[in-house]
Amino acid sequence: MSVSLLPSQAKFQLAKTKLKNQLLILMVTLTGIWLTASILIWGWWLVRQRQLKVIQTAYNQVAAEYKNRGEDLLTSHRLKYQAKMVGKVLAARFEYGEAITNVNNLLPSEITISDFKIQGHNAFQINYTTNKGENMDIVEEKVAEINDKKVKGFTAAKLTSLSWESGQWKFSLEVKTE
Amino acid sequence: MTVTLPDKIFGLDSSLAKLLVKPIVIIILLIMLFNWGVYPKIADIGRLKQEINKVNAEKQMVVDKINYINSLPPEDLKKNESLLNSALLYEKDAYFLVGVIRQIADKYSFTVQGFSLSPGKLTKDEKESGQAAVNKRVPVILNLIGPKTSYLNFLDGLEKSLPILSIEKMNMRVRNEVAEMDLEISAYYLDEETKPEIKRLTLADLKLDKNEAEMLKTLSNYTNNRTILSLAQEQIATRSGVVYGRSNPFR
Repeated sequence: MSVSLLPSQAKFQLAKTKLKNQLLILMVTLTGIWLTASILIWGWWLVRQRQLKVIQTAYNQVAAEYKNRGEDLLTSHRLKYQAKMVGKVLAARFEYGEAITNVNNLLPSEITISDFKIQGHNAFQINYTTNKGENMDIVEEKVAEINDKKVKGFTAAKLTSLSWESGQWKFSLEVKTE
Repeated sequence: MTVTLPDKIFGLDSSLAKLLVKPIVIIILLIMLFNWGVYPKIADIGRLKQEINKVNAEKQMVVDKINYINSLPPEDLKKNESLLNSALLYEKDAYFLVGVIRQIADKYSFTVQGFSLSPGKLTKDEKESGQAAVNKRVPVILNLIGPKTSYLNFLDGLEKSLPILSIEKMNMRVRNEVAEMDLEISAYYLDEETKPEIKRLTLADLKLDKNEAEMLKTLSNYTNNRTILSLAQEQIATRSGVVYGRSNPFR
């Protein structure tokens, strides 16, 4: 068992001194943390400012070069614009030459076209003649192939008339191109 | 003036309470300083970061555009420019269009029997779009006769010519070896385009896509009627009484 011989006033002074020291340590620590945080944040801010300045200088240099290429840029833009417009025209255009060529090449050369009519944009009424009856099998097969979407460039076909006169087969075919 | 403190404040000895005053004041001061001088910088750092990213992105876009322009061989640029200029009419001139068709017809022994124009008529394209710069159509209706054997080559010649000709309607009759054709043919011209601000141009506004590049390749195989086009332009320039009041958009 220990007995404190200090008078109560002295005890109080000791406690006061201890508290004072503890408060001092706390204040120094808090100020230190505050100062470190402030320096870090300010430093970070300065670094960012510097970075922005450097990037802006680089951007200004590039922008000046870009401005110098103004004529080329406008030419290139005009080309793009015209190409877009021409592309639209070509995409919307129905090419009769190609469609008629496809129609002409639809059947073998032994089956000759005697006449044809264009109905609207993509429908053809074609009159054919041939001497060989076997060729009619080819025609029937072709019509079936077209209707099965197996022939490129054509969407539908129909045999509209068929006759046999003095050894010659005459028939009409209605085809629709793409 | 002296302030006499009571022995105890909130149950705490006044001498101890006095010890706490200084740290409390300092803490309040530090908080105030932080709010005033440091906290705004944190928000500023975020803003700076965003700005850096924005400038970086803009710079990259400009660099990409410059790189694209630098990558284009000047002779290709010129060639494409000439090709596209030839693909469209300079302006609405149906007489010139008839001239071009006549030239192509001559090549395949076809003769223009007659033609009709409707110069003042608005075409479908113009009515529908209503935009400032659109394709405008110049339609002509022609009656032609020629040898049956070369009608297909003639059609092919029309469709593979510059300026681009579009056969809108076709009617053909064959008598013996002669083919007679009624054709409605259109060519196109562009309204004058407003000059864009180069700063606002994006890479997509400059770069030809795959389809457009392919189309240019196709056009290069077409018969270019540039000579007759230039000649007609000179005629327009010297023609009296026909003033369109438009500058040449392709120069």
